[in-house]
Amino acid sequence: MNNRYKFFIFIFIFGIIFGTMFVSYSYTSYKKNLVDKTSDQLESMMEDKTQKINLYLSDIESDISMLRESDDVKNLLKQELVYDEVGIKQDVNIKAQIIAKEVENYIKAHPDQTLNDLKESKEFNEIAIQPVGNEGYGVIVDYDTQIILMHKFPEFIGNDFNDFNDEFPELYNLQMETKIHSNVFGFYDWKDVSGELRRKYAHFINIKTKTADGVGLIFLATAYADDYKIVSVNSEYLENFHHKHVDLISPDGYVIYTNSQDRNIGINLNWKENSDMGLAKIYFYAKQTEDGLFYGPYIEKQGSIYPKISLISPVYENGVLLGYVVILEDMKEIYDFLKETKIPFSKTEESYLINEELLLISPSMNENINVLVQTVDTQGTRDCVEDLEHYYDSESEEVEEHEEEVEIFLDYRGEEVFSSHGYIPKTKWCLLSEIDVDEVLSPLKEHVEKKMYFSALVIIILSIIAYLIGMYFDNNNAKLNKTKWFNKLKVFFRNLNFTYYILISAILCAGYLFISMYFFPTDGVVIKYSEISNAIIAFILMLLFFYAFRIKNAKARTHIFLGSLFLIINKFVLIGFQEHIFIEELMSSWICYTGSFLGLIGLILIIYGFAEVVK
Amino acid sequence: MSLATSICAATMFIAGVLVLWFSTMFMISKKLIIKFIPFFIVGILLFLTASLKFHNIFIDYLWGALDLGWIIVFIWIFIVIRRENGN
Repeated sequence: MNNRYKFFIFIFIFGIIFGTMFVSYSYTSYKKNLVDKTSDQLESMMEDKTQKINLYLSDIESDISMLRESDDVKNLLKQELVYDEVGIKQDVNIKAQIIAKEVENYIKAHPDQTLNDLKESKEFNEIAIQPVGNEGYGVIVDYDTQIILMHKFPEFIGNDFNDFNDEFPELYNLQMETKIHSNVFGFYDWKDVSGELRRKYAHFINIKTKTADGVGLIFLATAYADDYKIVSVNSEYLENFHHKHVDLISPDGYVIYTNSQDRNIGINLNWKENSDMGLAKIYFYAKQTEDGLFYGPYIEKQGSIYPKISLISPVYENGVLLGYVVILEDMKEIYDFLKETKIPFSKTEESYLINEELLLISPSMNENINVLVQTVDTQGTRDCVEDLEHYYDSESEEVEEHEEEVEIFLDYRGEEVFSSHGYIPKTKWCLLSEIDVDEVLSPLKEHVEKKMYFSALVIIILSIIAYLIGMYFDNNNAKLNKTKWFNKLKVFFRNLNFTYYILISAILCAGYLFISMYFFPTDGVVIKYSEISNAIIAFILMLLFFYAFRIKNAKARTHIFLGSLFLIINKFVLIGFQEHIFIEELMSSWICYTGSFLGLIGLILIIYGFAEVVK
Repeated sequence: MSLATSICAATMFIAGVLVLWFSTMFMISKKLIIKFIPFFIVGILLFLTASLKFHNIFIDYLWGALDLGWIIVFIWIFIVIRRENGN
């Protein structure tokens, strides 16, 4: 077999083996690099968000401590409670609208039910005459006849509103107005079941849907005005306080003061109708524990854009409980913290909060998972809650270590994600930061492809060079004109104009620079200054390499020819790989060693060649 | 710093010693002090590069200055060779 084939096959096979090793190494190291980078980003993002949320909650804690000790708050809580018109109006109006809608929905859902059916329906009765305020209730009246159809006290059923004209003219007038307006409300005097004359407030609403037998209905919600109690003085300090929703609660449960525009005031949290309110729940909890605590998030009322979180604290003076102070805040700020990202342009990165029951308490990217409705039961959330429980059991080092790990789990969509979690001890929440594995590893394919193409290119070039060298030796052995083509090459370069040296060197260097940067891009930056300076050095060395053909002294020529060649290889290695080796650590530093060693030999050869030239 | 990077830097250091040794030797034996100055500078540049690598110092302007040194010194060598060779 001719040398040319032997050389070609030898280099080709070695090229394939080393190329495969290079691509495999490149795949592994790049994957590790991507995973490490993502893990660092997720961890730092999660820690940052956890810290911000904890700080935010600590600020609220500090504020409530300040309020608890404030003389203004204590003075307000010591004030005598008075009946409140604003509170009853708001409470009854809202309740009336809600219950009227429920009544209408019930009738719509049961279009075949007659008036008698509705009267007999336990479910309808529970809706229609449900409590309003402390002693208040709902009433159903016949629109045409003005006769009371349903009432909390059966003795009033069958009474005609027209009969109230003399005894309760205000009530009668309100009722009559319903013939003109569908929404009527106002105060009136009323003799209660014990015979006492008391001030009441009512809100009448015409139900638009009729019963199956064509009876039109009016719903009215009514409550006793003296059930609603507040303090009559205002506090400039609280009105200008930086939290825009601070409530004061009396020891017996009255919301006696608020600085909020959204005034939910005068009501008593002990009333049955308020038992589902977030404020009532936190009040009962605080009553039991006699300590300050966070509660939430919860939906304060229908139509709220953001859930609320609140912090309650008892207020004491000389050991006597004066009442409670509550700060209510939207979850908006916390949600804004969650939106901040450290992984720009990511499509799947998200951070969300869950509570200790795995209930999702912040919006997720998946619109099918609803806040405060659905649980997120994944390995990641379970681990986090477990860590949270350990935190309360004992603040051990093990928990801290586990907290910092980034692991791969299936998320709530069933997709593999890198997940990092932390917790908010004050509220017993877990924070999870996740990103899809597919997204993180998506650049891997392109990276490996480039390395494969590069390896293939190098193998082809080296094989061709090996073939040409083999050809030279074949010619040599065959005693054919042994210097024929090599001498021709030498003569060609020797006689070449110096401008062409510059041109060829510049083309080769620039070509290599761009090809290597295409195959080995570094962090989105196409070319860095170090590559340019190395390319300029390689260009000068290439000039020296071509100029070596012109050197008269044969010994000097060989030394400078080989020396510059080795130094060019050294620079080419640096241009292609140095960012990958030293900055991104995507490649073994041993590649650099090869270059350095060749560079050392190259320099020594050039010194000897130089000495021959100048002697 | 990894073992490979240390060895890489050590090789540069050895190269620096060798280049300085040879250039000094040629300077003295052949009495060509001026002509071998560029190689003397090469030796110093190698020392500087090796020490920066050893200490893991990656300051852009420092490396920029070193690169500029390399460019100047290679142009210098090339000009001397061309002048001495006479074509």
